[in-house]
Amino acid sequence: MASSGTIIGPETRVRGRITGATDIEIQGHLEGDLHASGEVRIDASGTVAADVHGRRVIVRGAVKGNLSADESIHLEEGARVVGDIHAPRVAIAPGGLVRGHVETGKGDGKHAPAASHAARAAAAAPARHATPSKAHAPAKPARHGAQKPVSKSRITLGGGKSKAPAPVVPVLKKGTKAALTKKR
Amino acid sequence: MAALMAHAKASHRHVAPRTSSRSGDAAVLGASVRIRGRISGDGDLSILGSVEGDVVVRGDLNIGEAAKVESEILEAHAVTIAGEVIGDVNASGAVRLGPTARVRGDLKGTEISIDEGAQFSGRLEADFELPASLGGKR
Amino acid sequence: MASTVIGANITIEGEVIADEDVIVQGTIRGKLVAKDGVTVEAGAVIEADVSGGPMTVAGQITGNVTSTDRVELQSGARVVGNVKAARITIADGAHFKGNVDMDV
Repeated sequence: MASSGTIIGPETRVRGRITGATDIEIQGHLEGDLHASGEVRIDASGTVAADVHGRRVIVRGAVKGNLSADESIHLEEGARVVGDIHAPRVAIAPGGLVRGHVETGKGDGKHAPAASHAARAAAAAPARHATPSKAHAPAKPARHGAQKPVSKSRITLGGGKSKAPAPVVPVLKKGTKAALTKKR
Repeated sequence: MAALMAHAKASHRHVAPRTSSRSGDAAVLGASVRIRGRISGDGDLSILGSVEGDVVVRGDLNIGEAAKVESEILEAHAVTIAGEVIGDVNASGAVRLGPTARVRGDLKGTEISIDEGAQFSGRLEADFELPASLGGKR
Repeated sequence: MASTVIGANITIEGEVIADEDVIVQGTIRGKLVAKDGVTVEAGAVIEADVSGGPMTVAGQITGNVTSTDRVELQSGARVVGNVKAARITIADGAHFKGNVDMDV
């Protein structure tokens, strides 16, 4: 028998907390928290009323509680989750159902779109992400610079996008120049 | 690349995407197109450039990898996102986030899928019942 | 075979109720109720009352053990608590402290 794996069989109910360093497979019912440093699988027959944390979490069954993982969370077809989902990587297959907030990233919401759109982000999701002060200035130029210069479009020139005044930053030069050139 | 030249200025004018000659009902906002204003239409729409403003189409909406869309609301039938979106998505069909998607906003649709690698922050509100052992619906 | 396995390095604090066989290699604190067989392997630690069908114990149990069938304490087992079962065998090398109740 696999001496390292843990299985909560389909006819088993656990009420309480499970912690451990191995992989855990839930085919039965768990009420209570589950925290594993290995992989957690919640099979199609598994029902979990608990917060679940694992290195990786794979769900095919039903969960009422929050899911988090050190690496990734996969919701497969048939998964039903009511709760928040948070991991560096999150994948939801077609047929995986969720009611809750889903967030990728390491935890402070420092992923790309967040940082670069402070203004809107702040309006859309208050408090969840990078502090406005930080997000405003430095993040923007980098992204603008990275964007393709607005080539033929005579449309948006007037710096249509610039909610933030174009800061003088080396990175920006390229885009700025292109824009200026075009203006004439 | 710009198959469609939308004449949106920096204003909130109403812009109806023209049907592209190439692909039937599909309008394409090319990579070099930047639009600020509301976009609405009946057919499919592909956004490859940058849009700031609401997008409401009856057909499918496709947001390319290099595209960037900021809006209050994106409404369409099926929505496929490979690029950057800030705003809520309200689909009458499926919503799919590809591995390169960067999305911040709530997603609504008949089916939501997120590929591994996508960056996402927002709410999902699927309608389903939990098993009785988990106390039913909510 | 057993469909529930509590692996080594796993700790359950709470109640485990199984309508099937249970193998314990890890730790359970609380309560273990099984309908069928319970195997407590060497290395396992149970601080809980245990009830079930036939039981084989090579690990540690602190708590009362109740079986509808037989209880086998193998060499190396360490049980502190009362055992109630139809039959009980205690192997040489098993440690046991408690009362035995074998009336059926």
